[in-house]
Amino acid sequence: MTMLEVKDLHASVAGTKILKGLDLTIQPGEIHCIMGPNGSGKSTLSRVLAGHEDYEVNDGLVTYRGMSLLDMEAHERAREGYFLAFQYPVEIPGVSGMQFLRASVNAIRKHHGLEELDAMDLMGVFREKAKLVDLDLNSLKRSVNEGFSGGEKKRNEMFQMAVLEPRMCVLDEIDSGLDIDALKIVANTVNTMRSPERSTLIITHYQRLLEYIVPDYVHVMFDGRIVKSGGKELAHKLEAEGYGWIEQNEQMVV
Amino acid sequence: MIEVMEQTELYLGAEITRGPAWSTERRQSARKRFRELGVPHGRQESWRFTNPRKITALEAVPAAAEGVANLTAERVAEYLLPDTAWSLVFDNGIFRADLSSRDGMPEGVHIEPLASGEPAELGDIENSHAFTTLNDAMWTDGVSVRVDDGVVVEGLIQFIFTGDGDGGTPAVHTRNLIKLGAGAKLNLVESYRGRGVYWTNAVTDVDLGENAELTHFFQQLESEQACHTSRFRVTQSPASTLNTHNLLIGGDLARRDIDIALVGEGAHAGIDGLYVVHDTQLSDMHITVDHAVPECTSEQYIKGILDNKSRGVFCGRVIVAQDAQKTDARQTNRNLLLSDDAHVNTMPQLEIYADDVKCAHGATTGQLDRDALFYLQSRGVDEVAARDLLLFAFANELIDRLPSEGIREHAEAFLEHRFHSARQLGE
Ligand SMILES: Nc1ncnc2c1ncn2[C@@H]1O[C@H](COP(=O)(O)OP(=O)(O)O)[C@@H](O)[C@H]1O
Ligand SMILES: [Mg+2]
Repeated sequence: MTMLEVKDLHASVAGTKILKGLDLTIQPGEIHCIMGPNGSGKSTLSRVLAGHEDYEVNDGLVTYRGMSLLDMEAHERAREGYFLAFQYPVEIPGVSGMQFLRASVNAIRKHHGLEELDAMDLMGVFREKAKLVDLDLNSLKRSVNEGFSGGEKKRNEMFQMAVLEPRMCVLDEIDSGLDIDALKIVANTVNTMRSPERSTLIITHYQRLLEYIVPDYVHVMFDGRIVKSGGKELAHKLEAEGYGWIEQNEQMVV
Repeated sequence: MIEVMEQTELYLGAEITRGPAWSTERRQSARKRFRELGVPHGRQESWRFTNPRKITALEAVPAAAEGVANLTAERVAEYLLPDTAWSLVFDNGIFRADLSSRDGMPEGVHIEPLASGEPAELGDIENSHAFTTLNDAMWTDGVSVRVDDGVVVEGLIQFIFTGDGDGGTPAVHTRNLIKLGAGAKLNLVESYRGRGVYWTNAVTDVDLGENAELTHFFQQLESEQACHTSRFRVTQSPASTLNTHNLLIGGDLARRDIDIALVGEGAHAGIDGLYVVHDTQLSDMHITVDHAVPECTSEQYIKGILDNKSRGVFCGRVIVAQDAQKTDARQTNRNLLLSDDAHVNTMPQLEIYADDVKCAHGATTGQLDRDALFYLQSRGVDEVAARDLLLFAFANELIDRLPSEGIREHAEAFLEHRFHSARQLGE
């Protein structure tokens, strides 16, 4: 079964059209990468697919593992294994990382008819996953993302992804503002979790992360559409030549 | 609707003699003063945002001195906190020795029902706050506690006051007197509970000796058809400490007045408050902290959660006298509105006459953070559970500061009940 199929997706926010007929197909086990200049709509795509209420879908179809994704509420998508690592992870004062993950893990388990895990069981899971992302478990006592540096926040996102073991992982600019060590942690998480049942969509502005994660496909997004797709060599071309040539091509088409 | 004059007489009742003989003269002058002041109304400055009409509309009559014996041991058991060591229970203002437990009270602690105990010094009658004046005239009973110098009471003492609207609408006037000697320490809980329609009008006066320390938990969990007015007046000697935690959840209209007089150098007053209201409830907190002398500190930390058409009123006044140098006074009021129809009036009032002081105040009113809600939803938590989690997070800071594990658990359980499907807290 196809993991994710986006067909002619049109979406707007606050009355402005952002996505203008986007197509994308991802098969299980594949890693895709979307690159594109700032403002081309990459984050919008990730949020529309996650079910953010601020975005209005004007047209198109999204099928996620045989289900009509756009008919599902945000929490239902998550429970079915759709995961978005946020470009700007939200701070939640007063809710500890532990409480947050406990609520999340158990909501998802319950949905699948599994027993809820108590604090002890959860700690077991956390301990194992913490190693993967080099996370200090004590940090889970602190409020979610509050007072964490940009890099630490991204690490928290990777930890959540490792714990929740989603089917479809979408990473929105996970690499922005990361130093080389943090970048390697992200890459290590994605590579370790790579499996025939899981797909990953990496959204990025730079080619840097792709030195550590080898994508199966690279897409270029421009003005709300995928305008070019190819293998990983496309990323190198973008790195070397910038987005200018895409822009020129687009203008010629218009 | 009855006339204002009639209302005044309704509140004062027919009987002239009430309570112990030593209180008669004081009651007489209070009756006279209450007639002069009259029943409060919405055009008075202090009732500008809290129209007392809901109280007067109850047409509550003075609870009968002999009382009704409706309160059962089962209900008292439900009201007791897990770590309560001693309890004094009152039903519609009448002491219930049979439901109270005072055994094994440490030496140096003198605790007795006010009406049947030693003559007490209640001070001057209230001159301007009419419901306190009415209490001066009409109190039926309450607790008198005296702790001798240097006596530290480890166990928790809980006062339970219940209102019962079964068979009439009583006005229950409760009066408590708490006096801590130099270096004395006491942990106290005041619980207000009830069922049906009634009016609680309570006054608690506290006198803290030098270096004395009072930890006070005020639990206002009245019936939602009832009205509640209460006054908490504290006078603090040098280096004394007050920490009062106020959980205000019940009542159709509830107003709490807290007046702290810092009259001894180096005294500290910490006032925490959490009001959680819904439907058409109104919760009002009026706090006055009077820094009369140098080097005292005070912190007011008040939060409110308001749903549906509920209303909140917060008036926090800090007065720093000219001589009160090195004062450190803080005040925070944060409100979370869960509905477009909920409303808060928050009024900080700083009157500072000294120059070498630190005073900080802040007030915020906002809604639940939509980004945080979406973040939780994107992790599989449904909207209702996500909301509950965020509400708990907002309240948690104050819950964490509650004085004991048992009190925290009880408060959490109550909030959980209120936010129904909320997730278990902890870790
Ligand atoms: N909530 C919003 N309200 C108004 N405009 C928005 C909102 N979110 C995004 N946009 C606009 O949509 C366009 C695409 O933004 P975005 O999806 O963040 O692009 P990218 O992630 O590719 O940089 C931008 O022009 C941005 O200003
Ligand atoms: Mg973006």
